[in-house]
Amino acid sequence: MNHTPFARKQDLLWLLLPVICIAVLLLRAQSDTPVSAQISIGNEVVAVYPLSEPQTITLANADGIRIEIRENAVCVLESDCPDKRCVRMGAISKPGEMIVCLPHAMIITLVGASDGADVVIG
Amino acid sequence: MFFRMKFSIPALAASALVLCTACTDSAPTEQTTFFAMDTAVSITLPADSSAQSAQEAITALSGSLDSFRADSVVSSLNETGQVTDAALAKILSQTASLSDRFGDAVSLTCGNVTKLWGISTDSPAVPSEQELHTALQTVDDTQIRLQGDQITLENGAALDLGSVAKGYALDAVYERWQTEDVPYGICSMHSAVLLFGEKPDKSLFTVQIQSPDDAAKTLGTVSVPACFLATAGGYERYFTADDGNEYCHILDLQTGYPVQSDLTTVTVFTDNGLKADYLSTLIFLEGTESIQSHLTAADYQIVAADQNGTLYISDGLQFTEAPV
Amino acid sequence: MKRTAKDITTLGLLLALACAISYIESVLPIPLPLGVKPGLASIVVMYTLIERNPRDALLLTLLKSGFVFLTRGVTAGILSASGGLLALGVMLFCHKLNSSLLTISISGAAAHNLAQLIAAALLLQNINLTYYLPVLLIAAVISGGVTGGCLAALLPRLRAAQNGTLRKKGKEEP
Repeated sequence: MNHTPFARKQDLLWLLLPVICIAVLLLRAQSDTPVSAQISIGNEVVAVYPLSEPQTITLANADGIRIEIRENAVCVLESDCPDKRCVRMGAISKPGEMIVCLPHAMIITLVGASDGADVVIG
Repeated sequence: MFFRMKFSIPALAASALVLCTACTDSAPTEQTTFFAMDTAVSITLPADSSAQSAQEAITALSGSLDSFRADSVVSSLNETGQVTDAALAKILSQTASLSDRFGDAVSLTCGNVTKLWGISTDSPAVPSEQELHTALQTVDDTQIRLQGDQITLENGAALDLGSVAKGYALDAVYERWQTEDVPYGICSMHSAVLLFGEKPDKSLFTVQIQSPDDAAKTLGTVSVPACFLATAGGYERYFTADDGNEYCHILDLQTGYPVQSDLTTVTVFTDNGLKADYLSTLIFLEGTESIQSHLTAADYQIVAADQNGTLYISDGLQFTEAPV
Repeated sequence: MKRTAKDITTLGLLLALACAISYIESVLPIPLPLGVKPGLASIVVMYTLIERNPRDALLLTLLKSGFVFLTRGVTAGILSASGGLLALGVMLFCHKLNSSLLTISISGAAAHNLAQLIAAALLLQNINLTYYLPVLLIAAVISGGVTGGCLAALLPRLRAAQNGTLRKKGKEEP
């Protein structure tokens, strides 16, 4: 049986990968502060909430999920999905970050500047 | 190993507790959404207030005031010509006072006409001239007789409360929240909104008015203290008929056809829900012709836009136009 | 292909081990996106791939995904299957190229995470999940390093156990 070695000299190249990834992440972090949380189910955006109004939400079409919107972050408080990864994800606070709940096909993202109004009429 | 277990479990428990407290904030609000009156209703209240009474009030009214539901109080009235109902009587008498002041462009006796169009049902259609002519004969406020809570309709008149139902529902919510001492709240029925009480930071409520052409854009933002608001025009119900035209649901009761207004959207701010709802429909129907009198009214304020994009805003209303 | 009783029991043990590790990992509260886990169960898969044969490793991967499906639902099952299968394919490929353990495990981890990302994107019908790619790749390098290291440390003893020449440290077992 061929005894495969743990590592060879060229394996040091693997260290480049995290370095590149960290560089990408740092570049991303320099964007504007989020202003609203956008919630979509499947392909459709079902709601957008301004972060300036702290509140807790229950979605009409996924009422096992409670989402909390804070001054500058969003998190899922509880969910009726089997794995609860969305809850364990904790809070997101930068634009582009996401909380995902696969069984509900739900994605919560933070979106940049818009008018944090209390209510929209039209 | 034993040493570690002893300390790691409490440490985990402590950090879990810390995380829990980190997730709450001072004065958070809760939002409840549900469907009623053919729209998504959204109620925002402080976390320690319950939206239940408001939700019950709206759902109950949604059932009793819907002329397209066979089991509603209104349908019963339309079919038999008589019914006794306190809420309905109140609506009719309030609307009657408004009509005394503003004329009969808006009438609740449009039931036969709206039924022909069926715009909020599954099968809207363009009625024939003949059918419309017959139905229009029954549009007449004088056919309503009110005696206390007893309502009688004469000569085949039928009611449709579409132009005031949401406003009245908001009034009902207002009364509930007054009795329950709710500090502040927002009840939105999409085209009619109640802004109640005072926000904890004492700031004004901000309302974003959607552009009638593009739901993703805004006309502008209004900052107001607690009040009722209602919008007509804009993104309301309409259907595209076989002839390819779009027909909106606000009917001109002179012709029986959807109104061809030169206004694209009207939003009214005032101190009563039914009044806000009524006025938004009225001003939309009238168009820019009589808009001056509305702009200078003392007991309500408006924001309106016409087809050229000109904005009409009442003095004293804090309106910020959206950047183009 | 004929399997001896020893074969079957050993495979059974490996499967149980993989499932147990996978289950424990799933209940650990690790705050990484999309539920990225250390993937320690891949030590078992890699061992099976290198010391036994690819067919056994495939069987193990499929059965493990079946276990995940039964215990944690459809979504989890799909993610486990997609990650496991692509990882196995990539690891086999690297092994044929005679790569080091580290390369095999990192490539496997990266393929695992990538497949899960794609599966999630398809399930959610949303391509924006590629936002997570950098984090997932960093996690893959780290977890690949850990699992590869574990396997490297364990291999001599595992081989000795298979050959029956394992001696307990400090004690002589007759």
